[in-house]
Amino acid sequence: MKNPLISSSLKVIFAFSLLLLLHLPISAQDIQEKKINGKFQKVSLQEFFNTIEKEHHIRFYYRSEWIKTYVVNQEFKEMPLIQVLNLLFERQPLSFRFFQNNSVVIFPKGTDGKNLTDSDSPQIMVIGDPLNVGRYSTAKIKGKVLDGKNNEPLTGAIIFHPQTGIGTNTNSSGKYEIDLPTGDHTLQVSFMGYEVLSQKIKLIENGTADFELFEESHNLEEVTIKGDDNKASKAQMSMVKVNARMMRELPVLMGEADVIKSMIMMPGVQSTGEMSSGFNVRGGNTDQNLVLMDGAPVFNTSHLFGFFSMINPDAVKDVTLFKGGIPASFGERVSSIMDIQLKEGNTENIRFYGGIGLITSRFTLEGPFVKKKKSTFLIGGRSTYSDWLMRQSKSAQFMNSVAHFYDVNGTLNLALGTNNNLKLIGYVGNDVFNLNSNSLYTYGNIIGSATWKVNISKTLISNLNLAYSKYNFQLDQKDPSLKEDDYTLFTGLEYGSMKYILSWLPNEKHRINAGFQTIGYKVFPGEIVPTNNPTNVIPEKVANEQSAELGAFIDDDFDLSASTALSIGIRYARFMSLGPTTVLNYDPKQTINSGSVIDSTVFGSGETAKMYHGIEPRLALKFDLQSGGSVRLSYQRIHQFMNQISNTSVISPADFWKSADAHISPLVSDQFAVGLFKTPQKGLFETSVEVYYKNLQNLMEYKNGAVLVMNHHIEADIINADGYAYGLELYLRKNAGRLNGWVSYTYSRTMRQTDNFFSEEVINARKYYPSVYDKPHDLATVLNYQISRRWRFSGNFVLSSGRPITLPEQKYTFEGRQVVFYSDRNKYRMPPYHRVDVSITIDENLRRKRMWKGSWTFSVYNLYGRKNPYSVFYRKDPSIQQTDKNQYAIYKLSVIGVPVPSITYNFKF
Amino acid sequence: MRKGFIYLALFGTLFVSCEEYYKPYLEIVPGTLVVESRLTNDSLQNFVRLSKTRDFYSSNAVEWITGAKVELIQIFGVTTKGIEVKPGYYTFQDKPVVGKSYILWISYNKNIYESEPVVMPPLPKIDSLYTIHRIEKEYRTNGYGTPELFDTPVREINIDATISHKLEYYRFTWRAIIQWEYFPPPPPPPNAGPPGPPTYGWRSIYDNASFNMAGPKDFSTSDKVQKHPVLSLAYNGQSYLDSATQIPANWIVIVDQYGITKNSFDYHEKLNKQFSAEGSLFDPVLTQVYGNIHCKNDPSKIVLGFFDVNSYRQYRYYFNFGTGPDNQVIQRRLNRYFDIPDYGDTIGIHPEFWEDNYY
Repeated sequence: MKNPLISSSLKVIFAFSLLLLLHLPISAQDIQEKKINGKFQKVSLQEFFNTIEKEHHIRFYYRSEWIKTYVVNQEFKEMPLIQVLNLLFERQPLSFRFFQNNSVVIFPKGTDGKNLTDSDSPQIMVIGDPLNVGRYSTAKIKGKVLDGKNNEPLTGAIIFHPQTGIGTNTNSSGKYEIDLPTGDHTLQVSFMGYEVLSQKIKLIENGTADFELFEESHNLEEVTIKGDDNKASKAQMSMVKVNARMMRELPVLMGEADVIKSMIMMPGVQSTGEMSSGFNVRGGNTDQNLVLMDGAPVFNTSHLFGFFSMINPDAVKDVTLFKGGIPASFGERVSSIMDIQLKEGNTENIRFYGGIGLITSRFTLEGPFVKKKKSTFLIGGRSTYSDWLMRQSKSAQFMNSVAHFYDVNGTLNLALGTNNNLKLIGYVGNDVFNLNSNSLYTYGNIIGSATWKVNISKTLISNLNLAYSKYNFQLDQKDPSLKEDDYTLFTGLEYGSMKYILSWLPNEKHRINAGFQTIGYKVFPGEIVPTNNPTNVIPEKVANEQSAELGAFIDDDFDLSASTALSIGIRYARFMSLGPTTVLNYDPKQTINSGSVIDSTVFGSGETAKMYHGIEPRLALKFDLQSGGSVRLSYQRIHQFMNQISNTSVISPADFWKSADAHISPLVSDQFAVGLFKTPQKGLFETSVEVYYKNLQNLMEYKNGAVLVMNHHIEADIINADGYAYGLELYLRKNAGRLNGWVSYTYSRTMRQTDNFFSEEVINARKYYPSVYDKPHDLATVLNYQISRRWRFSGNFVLSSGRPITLPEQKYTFEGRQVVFYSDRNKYRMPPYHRVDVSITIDENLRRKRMWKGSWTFSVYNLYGRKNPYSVFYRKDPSIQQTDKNQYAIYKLSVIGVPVPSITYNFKF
Repeated sequence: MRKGFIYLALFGTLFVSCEEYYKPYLEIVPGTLVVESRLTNDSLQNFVRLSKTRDFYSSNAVEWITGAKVELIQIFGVTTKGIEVKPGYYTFQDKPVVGKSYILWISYNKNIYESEPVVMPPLPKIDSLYTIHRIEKEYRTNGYGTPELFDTPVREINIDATISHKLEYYRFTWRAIIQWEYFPPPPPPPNAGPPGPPTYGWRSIYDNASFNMAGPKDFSTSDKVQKHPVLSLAYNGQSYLDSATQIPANWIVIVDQYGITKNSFDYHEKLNKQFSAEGSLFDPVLTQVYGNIHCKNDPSKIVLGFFDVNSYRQYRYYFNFGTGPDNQVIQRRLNRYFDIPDYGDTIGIHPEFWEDNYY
């Protein structure tokens, strides 16, 4: 119903009203203090005003088209009118003024003489009854911090009072409590990836205040790290969180936001350099990390030999990396668990977004699946046009080369009921690579999972996950002189798992998880198939490996006291290498080789050829310190039954997997860690110091000249090694403000030893030697500066020790040629690695209601063109070497030896 | 503009890698004994050469080991003592016999060194030798440091050989001798008259790349070595000569074929891996190459090198490739085994080993 007073001559009245409002002192104390009560559910604003008019005899003046889209969904209990109106119009383009103690004028922001661009400046939020002003010296504010778009609670949002330094953060339900002196204040409310809200408040007495935050106007979707009732415990330590804001603000190669590259900036996480697949956690090998995509493992985490991660960042919802104190519900790998949760899809509307870069482009489409808006879908993909680029080159080397990849991911999130949810994900990725050679590499992942989560009751949650993952590698080898010798090599791995967790949460201070997991592996170590007919190639196949892994676990997470939390868990791991298989029995008095075979044992299909099992205790303890912060301890033991076979320091897609068997024992790791954690200024800063020690048994090393491909008895080329790793990790982070970022420093060592009886199985005379991942010093600094609302600068600096290498130490002449003799294994070290990257992001538009949003990011990777060595090698090359042309010289190869500029356009529709 | 963008992108993605000379500190370690030993049915190729390793950065000459006692022991047969004919170079009067096993024994500096037994393989044989036209692609760095591709039309010399139970592996070395001619112009006036006699010259090109070996291919059942490339020579013989006035004529190619053992093949393969150990994408863990000789009194002592017993046969061929693939190749096996110096020339008369299309 339109108000007749305004509808006829709105402009005149408004001008008059505003004049009065702006220039005349108005006493409206009574009307402001009118107590409003009532529960309003999906009530239009106009109906709401009508109700207030009837109950309190207050007149509202407005233009109906201004308010027709507003709906009130609030419950008011004895709330003063001013507070009600503040709540309703907070961060909306409407404002209000009290008039003549019986009227309220509603008008768009800006029409009262203020500039429209000031429309976001907050109004004063009054908390408490104005009649009680001065009655209390302090008051408690309770409330929630919500996502302004979908009203979802934000976990970990910071509420900070700069004048006093008092602050707090929200719990897993987005709730907070804060005690402040009464009076006028400005609170800063912040959350990663959201615009910081500065809210003026008038605190009179205890009351509630909910805040809504809105995503920053960037395109990459937010990845939030949320406490998950099934995973991290209260005492959890050694856990790394990377969210999308951190990912997108890091200047990266080719401007591609990247989950794994972002992780490497965290303490204790390293890589062997550019073009390295995967990452190394606390000195562990790459294959010691379990990367899970909604519960399904990823066996090859990179595209284009490590230039890009296989995960489309737009599809990612949550990322958590456990470096230590790994919950009992996880096993399989000894170094880390990277738990990646993919997005379910937007519940509100259909959205389309993506990015266009120099070498790749990506897109994502998501939205509600059915009208009820609870079931959603998401589909996304990425592809590269590097082939097209190479074809434009005049270089025959590149014209004759192939290098491309694609990946497609999809999610279906089906709401089967209020407390019953089924999430299905699928992923397909493929790479093809050939660099002017006769070898064409093709490899890819196929991944799927189904997660069925049922909240049986308020205290009982059931979670069932079915996962499938397949990795295939193919090498097409062509012989240019004789096509009869062409062949194709296949290797791969197939994985299926069922995992069930039942969580019981009797109260906020207690949680018990119990469950089991069964895993089936099928490894395809290698098969040679002739390409042509007629052929000289004999089809050959290394026998497939079948195995099963079982895990049963329980962990109990509870508060011992107000300041002490304990998480204690245990996991039982059992592994069976299954037939059909033939196990060779070797003479124990000789080294394992073809000459020491005594006899063999044949196992039928499904028969257990070898079984390993073990108990894996898990412990995490947290003491809250009176001075603030906490001390945490953790211990874990994990068995790893699958290893990647690789004789290179950098994992390549050709490396294949091998399960434990009668001759290859599972890797066993024990890790102890202790840390001090503080969040000064109530969460504005985050600091931590962690120390760890890790003991490793049954690591794999390789004999001199080991042949790995198509080896029917790989145990004859493998050496058993043990090792240890230790380290100190320091972390300081500023979470909010125009200038934010973090500094992390790690000092760590990781050593190996081959203390075996036979000389063929000994490296460096049984002495400890550094692993190839031993990089003692590692510093990462990330700074982000919000220059203005539209411009943002980001920069990072990394510095780390060079990784160990083996160099030629002596030389001699043999049959007229120079030959070298190498040093002890990993005796020397590459030069230190350091690099600065910078980026500037320009957000095209900040208006949220605009349909199409875009932003440009200009970045420079390796700003000062540091020639960080990727590998060090020797060579006799008269065309380059300026010294004695008949001698060898040592060279270092830098993959990225110059500054690499890039530009990326991200969009959202 | 479009091309500019493309090249910028390419630059950003593919041409940003670089390599540079690097001289890290390397520890100075004592020299290690190196044994280079080959015995064949050719008495000119029966020797043991003893030396020491040098530091990697050393520019000193090779240190030869003199005064060592060297013996060749035929298992269940005679023992032949080595004679040091020059510093560190020991020869034997006896030739190894096909099918017999031999051990090399060395006494030096109070240490005893002994090889593993090695069997003399049967004599090798090339079943056929033929040429194939090819375009060789080679990257050369230009003045701006950018690698550029060069095409060179060549004639590749291939062989076929039989693989038998007793002899599966072969090694090849070669020497190509380019023959050239120079026809002096007539003297200018006032001393005008007939031109002087022509010059007949030759120059050798040697195999100094990695070891050329052949054997059963991986996963192949073929009982033959087929289309195995031994060497390739450019049609443009001028590229091998110093002066444009030297007119390339034709080629004499000497191919040495060795029958080798599986251990010898593996050892040389490892050496080849070293020779080709350029910076690869995956930075392979380097393999230490050990031979088949050990220190008897101190097994921890490292001995480098290899004791090789090879059967041997030499083939000589005459080739005229013409100027390109359209020309018919003239190829002839030679039965004259002159000792040909590395290079030289004669004026007015052909050297005695000279070959042409009509011999």
